[in-house]
Amino acid sequence: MQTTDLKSPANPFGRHDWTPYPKSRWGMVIDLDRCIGCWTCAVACKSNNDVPIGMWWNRILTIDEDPSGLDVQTTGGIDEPAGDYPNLSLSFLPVQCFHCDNPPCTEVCPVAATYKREDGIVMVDWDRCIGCRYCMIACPYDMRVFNWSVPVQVPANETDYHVGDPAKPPRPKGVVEKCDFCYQRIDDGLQPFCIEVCPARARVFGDLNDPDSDVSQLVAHAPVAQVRADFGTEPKVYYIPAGQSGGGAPSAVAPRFVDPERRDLTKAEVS
Amino acid sequence: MSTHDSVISSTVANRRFSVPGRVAVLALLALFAYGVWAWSYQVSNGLGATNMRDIQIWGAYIALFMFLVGASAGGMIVASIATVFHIDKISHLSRYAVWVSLVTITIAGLTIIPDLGEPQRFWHMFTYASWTSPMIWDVIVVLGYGFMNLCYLWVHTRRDLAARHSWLAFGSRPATEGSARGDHRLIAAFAYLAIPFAFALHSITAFIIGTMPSHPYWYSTAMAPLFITSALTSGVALVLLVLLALERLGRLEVGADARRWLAGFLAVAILLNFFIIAVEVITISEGRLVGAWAAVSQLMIGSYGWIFWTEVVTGIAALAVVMTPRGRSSRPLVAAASGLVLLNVALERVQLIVGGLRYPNIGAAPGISLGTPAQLNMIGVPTRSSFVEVARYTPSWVEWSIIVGLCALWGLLLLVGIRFLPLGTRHPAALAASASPTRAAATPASAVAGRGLEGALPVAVLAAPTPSLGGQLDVRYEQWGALAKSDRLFAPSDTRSARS
Repeated sequence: MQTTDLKSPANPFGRHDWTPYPKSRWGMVIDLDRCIGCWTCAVACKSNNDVPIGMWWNRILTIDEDPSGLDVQTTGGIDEPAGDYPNLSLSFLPVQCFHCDNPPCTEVCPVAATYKREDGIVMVDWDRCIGCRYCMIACPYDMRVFNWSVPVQVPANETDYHVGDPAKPPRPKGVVEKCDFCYQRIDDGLQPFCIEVCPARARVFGDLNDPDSDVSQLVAHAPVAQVRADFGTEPKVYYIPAGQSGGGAPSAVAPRFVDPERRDLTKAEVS
Repeated sequence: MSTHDSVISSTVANRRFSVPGRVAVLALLALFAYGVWAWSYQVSNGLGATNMRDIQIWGAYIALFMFLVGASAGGMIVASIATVFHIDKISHLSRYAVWVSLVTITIAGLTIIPDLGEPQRFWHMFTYASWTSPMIWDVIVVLGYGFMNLCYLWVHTRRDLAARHSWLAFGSRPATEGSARGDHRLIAAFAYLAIPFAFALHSITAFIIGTMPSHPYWYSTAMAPLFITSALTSGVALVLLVLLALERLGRLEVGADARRWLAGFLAVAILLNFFIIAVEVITISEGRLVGAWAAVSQLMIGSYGWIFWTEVVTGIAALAVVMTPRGRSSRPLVAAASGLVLLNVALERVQLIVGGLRYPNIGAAPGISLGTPAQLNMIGVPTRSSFVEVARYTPSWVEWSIIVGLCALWGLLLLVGIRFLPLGTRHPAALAASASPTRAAATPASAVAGRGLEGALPVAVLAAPTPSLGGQLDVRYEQWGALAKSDRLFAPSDTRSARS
């Protein structure tokens, strides 16, 4: 199992663009019929990635159930069902960086601090970012968060105590950050942490370039949708809208989806 | 050198500030120091000291940047248009206009620095420049425009600087008959270059927000034309305001003709600006696409409505002045109209930046995390969530302080330049007076010489901007105009031979 060496000869500048899976194209499918809106992924993400107080890489939005797709303009409050009693419905939309194939954020970054890695993960270089926040302007989904002040972690990061993944570098104030699909876990052959912790198993992660992977199977056979794909960004996070899957992943992938062997990326058939 | 061009007048022996001038400089220095202190507070505390947050990603700094970039257009308008289109009645104002532009574009560039989260990494813009980003192109074009203004001003003033034995002449020699022709070519070349450059500057600044489909209110082909028209509007208004203030203080003679011409130009610019805004608002209102319509309806009747309606009222009030001959003939009224126009364009920028960021594309509860902790009351109960669905923004005291500091620096640079640089050029009428009755029979150089041309007349004329002189000057101007026609742009002239 390979690990990321930030200053390895292959990566002399410390940019995290080295990947053991250069031919992969990581993507995610989230089944909204399974999502229970518990925020476990969001909290686990904060913990694993050392995300400072007030900032979220993962958020769980409350949306109206819309059989035609994903209704992203709603007026209700958080956890507020839509409809009139007794015909109520409650749906959630977990959002994070969509790691677009055609990311507007990397295009506008004046210093190329945000860039797309070979395996399709959109990264932010915290050593290069100048904090102009143009990428946040360009992102149509508002998935990027900014370190407005000195990052505060609870419990505080001391020299002998560090929350989350030790491979996650500390960030200074004044830089942009966002979901990076837990690239350090992927490089170590593990799934992103939100996949691991989801109690409803609503999230599936895998290689979109591998036609046999769970995500490829779901994208091919399940009624998946992307959020506001009309921006031409080609998001790599797909959703199975509520009411479409009947609460279970399609049978074609369900057995493999729960197979622990499949959750170890090192055993994925990556060429 | 042709008569339309400048002749030095302000080689005033006393190159120190007067007492009120010193008071003004000290006050501006104090305000600038306060701004620097506020910025140091912001640097040590992070941009959290501002009221920008993850939903209100940009705020007052970017609005000020875009306003100042637009307002720097005045130099191009007055100096270049005077040369390119032979508008001789404003040619004596070129140097002041270019100086105003140079100072304004300098402050515009500096405005970006406090907006950066990592200001000490500003040099990354040059070492890691990414050419797909409109921001890099804007950095280039802002720096280029500033540099061009600097060169333009230097070419305009270097002979006079040399006459003063200033090191700023960089080896140039005082004007001679031979040098005048070359100078003219150079100035004309700059004038022609400045116009496409100014178009690029304002368009690329517009592209920063206009090429963002993520913000439907901004994503418009009208954005670049809007920035051009508002640059024409605010640029000429800023130059007019500064020049009329200087005229009031007796520093120079703008003259009724130049004021009327610039006020007329302002009227056309305001109308064009109104036109583009109206086209934009009407198009979006008819289409009612979710995001853009939300922003525009907010503009009309929402909590930012007062900005838009103040814009409309100030614009109409300014138009009422500059569209009427009576208004144009009054210096205080034209100055007031210029001030209103500057307010108008500044509010337009605020409304554009703040209004465009108000509604996120994904508008579902709980919304976007602010990026700073929730506010808690004394017993630890959150009084304000760290999530918001709709942006609510007013600048914080830090933002206001830094803006005040930047404006103070603007005023400071402006005053220093006006005091120490040879920006003063003679009014055409004064030139005509010294050259009359006919150019052919112009007084021999030796007669005008002595202490140089400036000894002949202009100091007295410039020091006395009395209303009574205005009419007299206008009459003389006609004489001069006839002379100017016989002496075209590139024709050599002997008016400066006295200096050789």
